[in-house]
Amino acid sequence: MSRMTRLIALSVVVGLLAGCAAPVAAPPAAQAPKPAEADQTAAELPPVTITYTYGGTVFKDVDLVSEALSEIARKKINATIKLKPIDWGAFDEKMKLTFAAGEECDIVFTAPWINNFIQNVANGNIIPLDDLLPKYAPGLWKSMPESSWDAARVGGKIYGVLNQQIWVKPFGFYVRKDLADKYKLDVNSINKYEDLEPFLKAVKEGEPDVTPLTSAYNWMFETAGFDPIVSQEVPVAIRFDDKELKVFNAAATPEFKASVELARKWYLAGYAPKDKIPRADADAMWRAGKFAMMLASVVKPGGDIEHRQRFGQPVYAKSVTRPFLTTAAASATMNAICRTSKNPERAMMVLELLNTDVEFYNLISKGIEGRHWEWVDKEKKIIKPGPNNADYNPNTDWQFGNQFNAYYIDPEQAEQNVWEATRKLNNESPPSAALGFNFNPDPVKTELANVAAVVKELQEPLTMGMVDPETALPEYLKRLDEAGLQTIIAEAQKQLNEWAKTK
Amino acid sequence: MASIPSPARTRYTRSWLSRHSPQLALNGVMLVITLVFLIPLLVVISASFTSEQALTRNGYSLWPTEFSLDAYNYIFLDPTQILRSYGVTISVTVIGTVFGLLIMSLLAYVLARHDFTWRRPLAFFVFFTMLFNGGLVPTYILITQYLRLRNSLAVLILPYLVVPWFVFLLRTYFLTLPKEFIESAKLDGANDWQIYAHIVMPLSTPALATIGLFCILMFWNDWWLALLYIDEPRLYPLQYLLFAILRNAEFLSANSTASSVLTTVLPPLQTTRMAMAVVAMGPIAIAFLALQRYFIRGITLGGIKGE
Amino acid sequence: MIHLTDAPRVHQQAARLSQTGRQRGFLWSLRHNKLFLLMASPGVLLLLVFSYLPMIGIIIAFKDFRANLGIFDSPWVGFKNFEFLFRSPVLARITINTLLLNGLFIVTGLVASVGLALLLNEVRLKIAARAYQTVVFFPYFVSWVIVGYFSFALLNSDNGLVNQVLQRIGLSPVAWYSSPQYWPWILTLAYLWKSTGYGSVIYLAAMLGINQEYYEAAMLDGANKWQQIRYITLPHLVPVMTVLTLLAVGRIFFADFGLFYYVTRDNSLLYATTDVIDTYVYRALRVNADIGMAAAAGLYQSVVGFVLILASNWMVKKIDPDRALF
Repeated sequence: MSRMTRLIALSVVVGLLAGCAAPVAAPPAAQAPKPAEADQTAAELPPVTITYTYGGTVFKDVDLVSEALSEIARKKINATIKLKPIDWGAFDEKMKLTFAAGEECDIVFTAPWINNFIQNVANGNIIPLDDLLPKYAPGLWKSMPESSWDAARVGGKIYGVLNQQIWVKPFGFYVRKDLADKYKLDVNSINKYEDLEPFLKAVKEGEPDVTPLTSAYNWMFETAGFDPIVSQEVPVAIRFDDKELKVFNAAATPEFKASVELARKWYLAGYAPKDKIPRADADAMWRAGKFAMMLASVVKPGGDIEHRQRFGQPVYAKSVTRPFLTTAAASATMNAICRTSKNPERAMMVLELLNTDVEFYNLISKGIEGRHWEWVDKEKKIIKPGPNNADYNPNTDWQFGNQFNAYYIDPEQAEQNVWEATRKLNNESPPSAALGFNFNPDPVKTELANVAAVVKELQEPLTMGMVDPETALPEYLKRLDEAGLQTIIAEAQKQLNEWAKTK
Repeated sequence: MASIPSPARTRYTRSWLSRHSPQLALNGVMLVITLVFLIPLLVVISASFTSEQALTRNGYSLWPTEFSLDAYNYIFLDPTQILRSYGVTISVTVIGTVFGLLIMSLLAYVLARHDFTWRRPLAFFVFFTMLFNGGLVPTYILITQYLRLRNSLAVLILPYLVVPWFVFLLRTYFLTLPKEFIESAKLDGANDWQIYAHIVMPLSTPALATIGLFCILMFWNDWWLALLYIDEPRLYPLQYLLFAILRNAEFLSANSTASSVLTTVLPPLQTTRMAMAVVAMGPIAIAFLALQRYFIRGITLGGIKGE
Repeated sequence: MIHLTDAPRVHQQAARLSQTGRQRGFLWSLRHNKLFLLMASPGVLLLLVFSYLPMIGIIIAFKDFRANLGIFDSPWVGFKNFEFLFRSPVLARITINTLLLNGLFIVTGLVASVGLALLLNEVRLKIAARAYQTVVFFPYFVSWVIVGYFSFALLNSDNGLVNQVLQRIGLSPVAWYSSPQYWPWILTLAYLWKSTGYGSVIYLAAMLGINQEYYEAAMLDGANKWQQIRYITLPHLVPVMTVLTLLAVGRIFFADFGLFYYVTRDNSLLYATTDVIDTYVYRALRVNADIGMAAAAGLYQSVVGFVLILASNWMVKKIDPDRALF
């Protein structure tokens, strides 16, 4: 045994030596912006290369697109653009490592759901943009109301550039046009899910090969008027119009109870598949005509067109949610500047191009004209796939900048003027009382982990109607408290009160 | 199972059927077991050649209900990339297996020699790495910043050259070799290297073939190292390429309501998954069949060796 | 004729040799073992670089890791990162499930692999033996994701094959995906389907090392097939079985994530019997993927595995020093 302990000791020493030999130096913080640069013209700016790291397929033609972007950027801001897509399956992991290793990067895609924004702020991976924005990206800065920028604030400072797209969450349902017509469903008359009952019953009885719903799941915070201030995965919320900012357990509300009871009723009635079906499979089954209706989906302007494009079936869509603007939804997709960037000012200028230069933005999101896409109608800005579409088609407009600058890919989108309608919906929706509040999870990391585990375990079957809420709901609430939900609520309330004071 | 009587005594007194009934029964049992294993494999292959619509509508079957090459078309959208990835994977597998076998067999041989003073501490040294590791962050920093191995073939090989599990398995095989061979070689004046090269290695072909096969599989199946350390598609190994294709397609599908799709090919996700299994399995079948003769005993029909 | 019983004698000699080595001091040992050390050095070096150097990162488990501060300057937090595991209300469940299911896999895997190898070894028709072996090996290539699809096609409540069969023979269908009691066995079957072929190769290779003369001698003495297996083949396989089992015991706290996640389709109604440490950690860190907490969970698994393997290795050493790992 003694020899073994000696060996452990030895290995520890080896480890320590290794540590000494390979110190992980923290790179210096980004330099303060050089003030003179803003006024210089492209020719006077020293040439630099700006990298843009984001999620997506590494397409064959990505370097061609980089070059095309650089052509514009060199003329305007004397910058060469290097696109660095990382496959979606690797993006989160690789960004964590890139930051942990202090590797250099300039612009990076970040969001609450991948390459986590709050963690990036907490880890000092991305820098505050308050000074850079008005100076180096005036067009971008003015492209949205100043209050919108609050969604990207953490501790009072702006850390991300919000991509303009659908910012509110009007949850509702999509239903197959043929079945809706056949069973005389007037979607415009539906204002809550309960109203769908007769239609579901008729489909169940009249269409033996069709399951009425992809899932009985219908619970969404926003449908109940709740703002999930911690995470979509944790039932901690405020009412969006509650000026008192009272934080509560969303799972203990009558709204949640009603939702799971409805799910249970429909599940027992056989309106939904008995077992949970993963998203990708549900999609395939939808395409094959196995379902009539999808609940709890975002019903946005032009949503029915996208749905038809993807699934090949015409649909009707109707929202049952009164939309409002939350931090989480508005900050759903952002671009930020890395702490390790050597040229944060120029990176900001590139962000300006991404968000205000229509040609530049469509180059990165759609590719090169004549190669990856072709005009259908130049005036109405409608395009179609080009001969080499497969060599570059990221299909993630929302990732690169202001989506309202995107070319339409379906004539119907132009007809409905989808971007204008979306912008209008964003602007007309009331803000949540907590818009601009970003929760700092650090003080309650332990509780958050255990609560997240309980939510996945017990909330999922409840909301899908697979268990009886009579017994399962009290059990769920008990387990949430055991896992420390009250601690999270108290912490959220504390942070929210402090935030309200600084507002 | 019935006993096999000593052949010398019974050969001419019993009928063909009774002589062969144990073998027939055995083959019967094996056929049933094999079928249990085979059917899902056939279903994978069949599903990969079925259209996504038909697969969703009709479920799995042994023969495609509606023949379609959609899944393969989707994977082979960029055939040069697939071929290049096959090339990367084959190079990594061949180099890795050859050097891995050499290095691990040397280590295992030393661990198997009773007259090596530090064999227990060394065994512990090897074993310890099976349980404890420093985690991703330090490994990543070491490999990318100090060893500067990012985007190289070496990074797909070096970290997997010594697998403790294989080392211990090899050592165990070596330990079961008759000691007399080593002892007598020593008496003949052979040094430890010569004993390794001329006695232990030739006697261990089944063990080496086994570990060699496992190495091949390990290198062939790996996508994790590529995920961490390879950014350039020209160095994507096959499994990582397939992984990336699938995950990117799944991602777009999961975010279907987030964006319009400007594309001519919508990925058939389910059948693509099946086709990927087939694409990844194909070439390895050849390696398996080539190595197999080393672990199936060469007995010919109707006789027992040495009879 | 070669005797297996020679081993202890050689071992004693060797032990005496190394004993004298130690008495004569370090330098003597170094000289005496020079060639051995040289031969082991490439492997040792690789392990040093790729396994031991990064081990400094183990301290991340005790730190509030901040990327901008780096590994060394991030603040110490003691055992705080371990709290989410140790204070988890379901700690008992995930621990027991991990141990029981892995235990089940170790035992059934051993029996199935050895059994299959014995059967394959008896097949006289070479081409048949090869065909069988190829087929049973190939499930190894099928990912757990695909296995998950198959199990769903077999077991789902709406039109699963198993339930159709059950109904046809007059039994009532089972809601498999909400009946956790069946899942230890379903998972075991899936595990065996995928890994038995791989395992049997190891034992087949070991069987090839058995001197044919033993069997001939045994047959002359009138030993039947079963007796030959019992007294010749199996004893010869014991070293391999011991090593594989020992190594598996060391990993008993680590679960095969793919098996538990994809084959159950991460169905929460089944967690009672299928939730293991790895799936729990994955689920818990979904919201706030903390590097320190993930490291803590991994370290906990390693330490427990380490203790278990020290204990089992010590026991094996008591019984037969030659069979111990170290």
